[in-house]
Amino acid sequence: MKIEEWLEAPDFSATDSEGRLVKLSDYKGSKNVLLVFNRGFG
Amino acid sequence: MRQDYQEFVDRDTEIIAIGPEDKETFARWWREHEMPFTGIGDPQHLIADLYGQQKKLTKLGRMPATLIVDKNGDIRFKHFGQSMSDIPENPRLLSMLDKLNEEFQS
Repeated sequence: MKIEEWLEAPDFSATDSEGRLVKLSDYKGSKNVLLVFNRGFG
Repeated sequence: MRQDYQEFVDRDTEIIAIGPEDKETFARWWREHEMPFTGIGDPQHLIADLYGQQKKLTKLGRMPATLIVDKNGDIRFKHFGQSMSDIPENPRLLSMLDKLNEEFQS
């Protein structure tokens, strides 16, 4: 199992499917975040 | 990802899925399928480019990418798929999250 060297995740904010503003840095200190980029959710 | 969502929740993990569809198309699909986690339509690929998602040169479209950001806001795992189905298995992701949580607590 390979764990990457620490590298600060670039922050972003965007509106999600429900129109909520999602800001990555809001999870800092409390949650891990799994980012999944995919084609064809639609 | 959907079937195992609770497993991720149990590990203090938020899943954020990002797709290239426009906001409306993405949101419609997301609701129809009752996806339990956060989904973002990113038609301009702003987030995808920020994280270096690979573009497929021969065809339209992009390869899947999976990253784990830990509670300190650091990227601890990244996987850029070589094909559409090249996505890390959930058990592998879950065990990494266990390890990161242990590390965060200590």
